[in-house]
Amino acid sequence: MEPGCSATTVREVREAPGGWRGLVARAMARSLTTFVVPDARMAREAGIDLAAAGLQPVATPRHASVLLVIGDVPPGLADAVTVVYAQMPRPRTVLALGTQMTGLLPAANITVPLNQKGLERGVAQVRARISSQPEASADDVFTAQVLDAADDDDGGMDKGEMHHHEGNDGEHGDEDDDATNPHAGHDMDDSAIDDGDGSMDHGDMDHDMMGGGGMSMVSMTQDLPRSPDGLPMEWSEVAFGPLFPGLPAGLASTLTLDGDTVVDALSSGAMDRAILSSLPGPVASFPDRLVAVDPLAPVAYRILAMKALANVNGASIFPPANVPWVAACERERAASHLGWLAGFGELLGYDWMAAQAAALHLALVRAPDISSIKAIRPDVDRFLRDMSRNPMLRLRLAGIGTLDPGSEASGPVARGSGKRGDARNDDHSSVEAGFYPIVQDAGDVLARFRVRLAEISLSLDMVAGAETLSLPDLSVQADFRGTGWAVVETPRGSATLQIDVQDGHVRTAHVDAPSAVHAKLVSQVVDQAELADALIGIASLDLSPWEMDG
Amino acid sequence: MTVFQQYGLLVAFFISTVGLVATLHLIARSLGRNRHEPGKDVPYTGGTLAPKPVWVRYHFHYYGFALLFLAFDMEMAFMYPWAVVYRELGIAALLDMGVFLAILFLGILYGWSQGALRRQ
Amino acid sequence: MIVIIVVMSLLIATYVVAVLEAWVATGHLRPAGPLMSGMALLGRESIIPRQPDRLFFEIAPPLLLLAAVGAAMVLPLAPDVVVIDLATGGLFVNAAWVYVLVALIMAGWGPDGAYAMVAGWRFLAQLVAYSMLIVMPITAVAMRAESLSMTTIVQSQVGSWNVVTQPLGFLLFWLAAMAACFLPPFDHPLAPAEVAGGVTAEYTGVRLLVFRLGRLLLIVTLAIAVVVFFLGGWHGPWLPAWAWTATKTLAVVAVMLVTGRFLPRLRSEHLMAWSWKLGVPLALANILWTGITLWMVDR
Repeated sequence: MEPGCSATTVREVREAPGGWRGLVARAMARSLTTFVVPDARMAREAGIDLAAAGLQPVATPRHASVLLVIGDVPPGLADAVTVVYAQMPRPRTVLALGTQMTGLLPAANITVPLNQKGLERGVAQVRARISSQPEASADDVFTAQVLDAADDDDGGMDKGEMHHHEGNDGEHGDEDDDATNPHAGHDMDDSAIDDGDGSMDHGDMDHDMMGGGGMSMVSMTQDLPRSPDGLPMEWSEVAFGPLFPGLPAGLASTLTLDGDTVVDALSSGAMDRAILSSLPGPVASFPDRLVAVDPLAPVAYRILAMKALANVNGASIFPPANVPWVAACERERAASHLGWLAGFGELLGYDWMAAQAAALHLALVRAPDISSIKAIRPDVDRFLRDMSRNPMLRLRLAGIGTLDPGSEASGPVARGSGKRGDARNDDHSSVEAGFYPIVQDAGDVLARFRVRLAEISLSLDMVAGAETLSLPDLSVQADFRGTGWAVVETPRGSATLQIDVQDGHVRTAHVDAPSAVHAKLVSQVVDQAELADALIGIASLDLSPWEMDG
Repeated sequence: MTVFQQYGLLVAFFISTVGLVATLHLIARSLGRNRHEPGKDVPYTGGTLAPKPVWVRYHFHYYGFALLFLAFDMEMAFMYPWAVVYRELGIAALLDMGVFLAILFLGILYGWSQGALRRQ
Repeated sequence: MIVIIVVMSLLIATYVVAVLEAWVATGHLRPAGPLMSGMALLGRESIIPRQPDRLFFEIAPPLLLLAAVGAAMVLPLAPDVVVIDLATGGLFVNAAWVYVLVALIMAGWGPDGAYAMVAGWRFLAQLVAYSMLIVMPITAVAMRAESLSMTTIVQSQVGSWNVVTQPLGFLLFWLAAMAACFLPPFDHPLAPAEVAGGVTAEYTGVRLLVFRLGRLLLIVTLAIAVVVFFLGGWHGPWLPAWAWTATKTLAVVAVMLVTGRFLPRLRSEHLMAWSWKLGVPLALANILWTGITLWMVDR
């Protein structure tokens, strides 16, 4: 520090540290690992290739050095992002793409536009930042209100299914002796007899103590939940929270685990955007507002809005040459299924499948017109052939996640269980473009997987027969009024929209999204499944937590 | 090398490995101390703050296999010396050990038939 | 002197395996990759989770490294290039590998985190599946060599390698070796998308570095063991002995890494069922087969 420098200047000066620290700083700048918020699928939907930009995605914030935020963070995920950032070891950087992260903690260190060039610029800035400032300065401790609960030190005795036995660890001094659980009972016996304090401590807990010392295994275990094989073991509720690598981002799941078997699961959307209350408004911009309901299927929701408006008062003012919207819808379906396959491959630990599906998803999302889609068609076909013939996948996926979808389910979830329901059945232009419903009977994960594989192929066939991918314009008169209804087959299932229009304004809009219905099937899918199989079952439902907002 | 020298060298290696780990820890510490911040030390559970302890009476579902494993492990302890002298002893040794193996193999078959060889 | 040669060779082999693993995973060959990530890990904070089992949490990564080092001490890289030529080498190496289980269970239990705990116990299931398939082929190999000393085992393969005379044992040992160092498709304790990093989920900074180093060295020792037990060790026509060991070891590692990329993770129940219903009977058959063929050769 040179004499004459003011205190503020010293803090703001970023000099590259020399010697040993500089070397390490440069090494850190060159091996960037990233935790993606919301998830990698949203990155690909935005046309971003992480590996090409030099970022290596990891599964846990503990291994990450860069927090990559893609698009605006929904209000429900704000806390989760704060917690995830707090769990990252220093030095850490927040790189925000296409969002300013206003009002959110943590603040973005580097903000760039949401495209590949922006990402590459952002990564270069991150590298410069890390090599010049390897360690955050001592006074900026990251705090947030949601994190204050973490320092709460009450010993945690009031946890769901957790039983009093967990108190053994603290009170009998055998923390390290966990492998001898069968002896825990005997140890408790001895110490309960040997020291009076033991029985007084036990008095606080909720089990029966017979007299001063005689405790049998029967009484100790009588309140414990019983597994199907009859053993009394302790179950634990584990959050596979909104930002879990194997599940869609924003799906807050709580799984009750009996060892590594999932006994029960509860999944809910955590986005909390209250999107449905923002739908009423001017008719001309209504499709744009409806598209915000599900960023994973924007084309399908735009078409839904346009169809509903066109069907107001039963009159169909939709342009007659409506094959173009079929092509756009089917292209989105193929892209969505490929994106789902990439995430599914990662969940299966099948790196080759995940990498190929991700590359094809990205190529399809980036393809500007039908001829470029035709150009990638051979690669897609080869990939689909490899996947459908693969004996390892058949072995892995057969027989797990079997469910009975019920009458309200739709999409691949229903068609994988033998139900032929598809909104495109009644749609003349889809049928003309070559649509037929693809149905499998087994009702398990393999069936839904096969349905989606076949739908990719069918959708790309339908796209190939069209002339353009762009959607037609909507033309609406000024004194437009009435009620309209429409249904569209989104990649996940049938979505219906009911609107009430008066004086050129949409007064009420009611959306029934498929994921909200399918989320109720989660407990069926995971019933007594091993953890990996349960997660694969949940993933096979292809839930979109964006649609699951109230 | 005598046996003592061999095991002495082994112990020396273990100690130097521990020393290597300690050196790495010292290097890491010299590069910057940890900073305690709220929420940093809570285990990651997908964006929520994990409830406190997870140490439960864990239900391991493959105890049928584990019991068989114990039996076979004890058998392998007998097989090591047998394997080393097998060629000297000739075919009779194979028959002797074969009886032992067959009895244990019957154990696998019995367990299989009783449903022990599956996820409980 | 020999000690220094062995240590340097193992370090180089570990580094090359790290480069290979990154190459298979990402498709890019980055020779300076592991060095950069290693130094980067040193520079990051090492977080200790709240209310951990501190002893287990601290011991687990060095124990993994120690287990690999223990196994590496008895593996011969060339005639007379072995740190300790134990008379009970085959037994010792198995005992060293078992400490991998202890390390992983400690790593799973220590941080008091849900994902790590499930992953640690899953590795126990994996050990119950693969352990017999490591020990039984070693026994068959020792029958041929009449000794458990690793050097003698290599020397017994002068005429024909064990992969030719005991193909079943080779196959089972290969698969069990992949399971023992939890490479895909047996990577249950580390599964990124199922348990968010599993046993490594709560490790950061220097502890993660030690853990990864231990795992890489473990992969190297298992590959060298495959070469020593079944692929003739240092035997081969024109190249010097150490070159053959190096080539064979790297080939084994490369094949293991590449096959892992093209297979989905095995279901635990399938792993257990196949190992005990199919694997152990085949291993016993392999011992029987070896016994009969040796008797016929010795007549």
